[in-house]
Amino acid sequence: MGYDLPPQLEELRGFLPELVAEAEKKAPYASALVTQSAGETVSKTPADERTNPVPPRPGIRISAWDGMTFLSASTSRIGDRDYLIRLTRDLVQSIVVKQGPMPDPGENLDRHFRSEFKEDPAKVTARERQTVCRHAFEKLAAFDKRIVAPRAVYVYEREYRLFCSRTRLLSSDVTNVGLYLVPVASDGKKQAMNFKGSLAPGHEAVHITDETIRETADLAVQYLSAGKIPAGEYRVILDPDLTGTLAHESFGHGCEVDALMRGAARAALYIGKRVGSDLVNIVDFGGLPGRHGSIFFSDDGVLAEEPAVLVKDGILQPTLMTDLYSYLHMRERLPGLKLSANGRLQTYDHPIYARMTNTYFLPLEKEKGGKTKEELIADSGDAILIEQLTSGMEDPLGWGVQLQALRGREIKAGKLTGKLYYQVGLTGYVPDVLASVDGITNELDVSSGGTCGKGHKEYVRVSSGGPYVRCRMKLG
Amino acid sequence: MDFNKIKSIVAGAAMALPAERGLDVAGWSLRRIETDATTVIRLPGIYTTREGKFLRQPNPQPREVIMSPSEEIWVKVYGRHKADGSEYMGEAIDQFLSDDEAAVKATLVTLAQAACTQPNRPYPASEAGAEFPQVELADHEIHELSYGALLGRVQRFSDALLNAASGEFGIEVSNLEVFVKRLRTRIETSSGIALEYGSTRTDAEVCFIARFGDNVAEHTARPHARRLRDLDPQNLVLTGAVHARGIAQAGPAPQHTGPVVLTGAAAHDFMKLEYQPLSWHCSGKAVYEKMSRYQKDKPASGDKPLVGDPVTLFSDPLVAFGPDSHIEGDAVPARRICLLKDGCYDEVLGGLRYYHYLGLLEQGARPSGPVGNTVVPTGTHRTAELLGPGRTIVVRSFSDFHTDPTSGDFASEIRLGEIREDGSNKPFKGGLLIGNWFDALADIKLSRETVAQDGYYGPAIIRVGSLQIAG
Repeated sequence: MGYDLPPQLEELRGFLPELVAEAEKKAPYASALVTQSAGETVSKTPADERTNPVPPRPGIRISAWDGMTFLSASTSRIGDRDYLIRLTRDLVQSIVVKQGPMPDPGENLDRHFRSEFKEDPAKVTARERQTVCRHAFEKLAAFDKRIVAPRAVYVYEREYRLFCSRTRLLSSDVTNVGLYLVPVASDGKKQAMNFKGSLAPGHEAVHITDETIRETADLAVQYLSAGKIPAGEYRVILDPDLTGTLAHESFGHGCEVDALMRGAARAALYIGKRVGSDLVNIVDFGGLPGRHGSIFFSDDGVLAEEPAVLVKDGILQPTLMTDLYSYLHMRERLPGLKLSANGRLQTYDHPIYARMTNTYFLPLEKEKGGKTKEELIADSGDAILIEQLTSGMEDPLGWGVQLQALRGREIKAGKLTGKLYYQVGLTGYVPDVLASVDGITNELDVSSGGTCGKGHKEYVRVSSGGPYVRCRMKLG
Repeated sequence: MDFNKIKSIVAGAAMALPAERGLDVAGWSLRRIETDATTVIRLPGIYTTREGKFLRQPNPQPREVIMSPSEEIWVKVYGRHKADGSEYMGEAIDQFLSDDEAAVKATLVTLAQAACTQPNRPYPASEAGAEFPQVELADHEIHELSYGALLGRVQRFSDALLNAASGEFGIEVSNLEVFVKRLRTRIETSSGIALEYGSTRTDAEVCFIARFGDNVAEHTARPHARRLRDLDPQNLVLTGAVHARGIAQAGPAPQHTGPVVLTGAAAHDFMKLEYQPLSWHCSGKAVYEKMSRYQKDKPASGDKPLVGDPVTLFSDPLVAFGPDSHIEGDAVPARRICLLKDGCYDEVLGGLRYYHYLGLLEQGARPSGPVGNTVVPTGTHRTAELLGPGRTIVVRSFSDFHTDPTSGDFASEIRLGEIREDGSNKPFKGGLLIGNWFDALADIKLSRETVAQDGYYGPAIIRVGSLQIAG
């Protein structure tokens, strides 16, 4: 006892083994997963200031394996033990065990994990959060009269998770704090919006300088007079978030094993083959500490201890990203496949799929040719520096990729000219884009945060990043 | 949890808070949502590879079946406070975890404290005597079924779809997910609103893979409906197969500047309030905060002269069994509102708060309530006319169409398009369709033929006078 969990979860942690044992009276393997949230959000816009707790949305999911299929029951009624026992009995009462692969429950493990931070966000008062938002809002508003609608949002989210199987009893307390600045500028005819997010596990995330706030507002004003980029193929330098999202959309989604097992990922045909230049190294690692996509264990109860190496020196690896279902069905079919910590769900009443966590390009060490950002720009002749991702979309079978960014900066003869393009769309054929990677910087930056959907649903929090990467893409 | 017990505690505590804690509760609302959800995920085949080819083994057992009975009770509290001689107002919302009196009171105090620190202009918390529309939201065929019977109904739908797909040459269904939700919503407010209604939702995700030798492509259909029977397996397979085949056989996108015809999913995405910038610019909040282009009765296309059809567009939450239909939003009755009338801005989307701030309540207008289905009256043009003689570029679907809400700019990857010329159709994929949504409104032609798809009711074909494709 004494995990600093909400009282209801503290009690439930001790009760979960009983539920799993009840399910395993009929099912060869069962597990239980509990999720609950906490925290607070504060936002300020010209007409609206809000302070609101993050709703707890508690829920439990009990899953039983019949040899071929997961049968699951989920409910928000986590406080009623008798009800949970009845629900579990109903779930397994008619189960017919089939001949099929069986999960390895692994060694006994009872652990609790907690995010590490510099400043505990739970000790920050609502008034302190309001002060942070009001200050950022006022600085944005004061920058220029064309900033018509600044918005500052402080988000403190705490995510509790419990996992229990016959051998494992795991719990985690993950915190994420973000300060988001969104200035909207208008000249009376045209509107433009900029965006800046600062994220960390603790309150330290919000310590951004007034200069950063001014730069954020300044860009929104500059967008009003920025041009549209002439459509065509360009040499581009992607900032770390775009680089990571290129990784995410190409051999992130393309290496989710449930996509491979349904024949929807061309990567299945390329395992062990070249899919990019030697400079392309892509990994997914939920155990990277303190990032927005970080987890301690997957929703299948796998500890996030080891990165999934997806592409190494341009060669697609067999490690891939698995959830328990796809692993059980594919382990005999894909030699080298491991059960990774990538089984994740959106909420307790949704299915578990193979999902990404923190996905990133690896930087190149200086000794091997990795450059600084300035060196890469100077080395690029004519190019466009693309910054501030807004969205990305995958096509793991057709190998198309779409990225959207807020801005492009013109580079001529290795120098930034100061010319700015607003709203840049990027696309290309994944193998061509990755084969064209010919320059990379030497620092890893995985500081972005957002959510990723499987198609257009099943959103989970993720991060992406890497170094600056130079390649060729179509812009418009 | 006992809803009536919680209501009684909330009502009593809200009355006592001013004296006990100095917190002035201006109003409250309670919402209970009982959900009975059934999810079935099927992977009809498991694929491996050999010698550069995909091999498929049948997988008749579902990947996962989930039953989810749940109940949530939410409370929203409005608070007033005075500072520097002015009166302010705020609101906060949270979920109850139990009906224990101390816990309910503690939640209420936390919310009242949060609401009473928010320095916002006062506004009406709720509408006394509001009348709610009668809107058909529930599929009576499935609403009362037992869990087992509903599972059987979902199974029949899945089987019908897979059977239909098995007759399509070169087409495989690689993933079939069906989500059925039966909901019961109850609302009570401090102003005396008491409302209870049932609704259903059926969402599906069907992935079609077309394989023709080395040409392989996937198309995902994501239909949404209130009634399970509105998802027609035959029609889903027919349109999904055509789409997947088209992508598999498509060549590269052309370079093009000029007219572009949007059909099917592309027309839906271009007009649907969810993806285009109109709902942002017509939102009461954006108008009040002066970040919107909205000017009542002024052309949404700005200074561009109107050379096409004047577009009228409604947000209509009252369509019977419409996927985006609602009875209320935040205890405000839903109503159909006209956002664009003959190409000009008309009404504003919003609740009581921004309707009050903008002076619309005082002018006798009723708040719009929630955003509804997108309804666009048809044009006068026949399909053949819009497809035109000569070379025509048609876009059938996007990878992920959305516009920048502030500027209306878009640059979206084309999932499937075709070049129509001399009686032949040459499919293409990739490349970006580039333009500005508001500029496009100035030169748009709408078909007579209509489509009803996932909350869009409008012209099946839209011809935009000038867009760019970067191939």
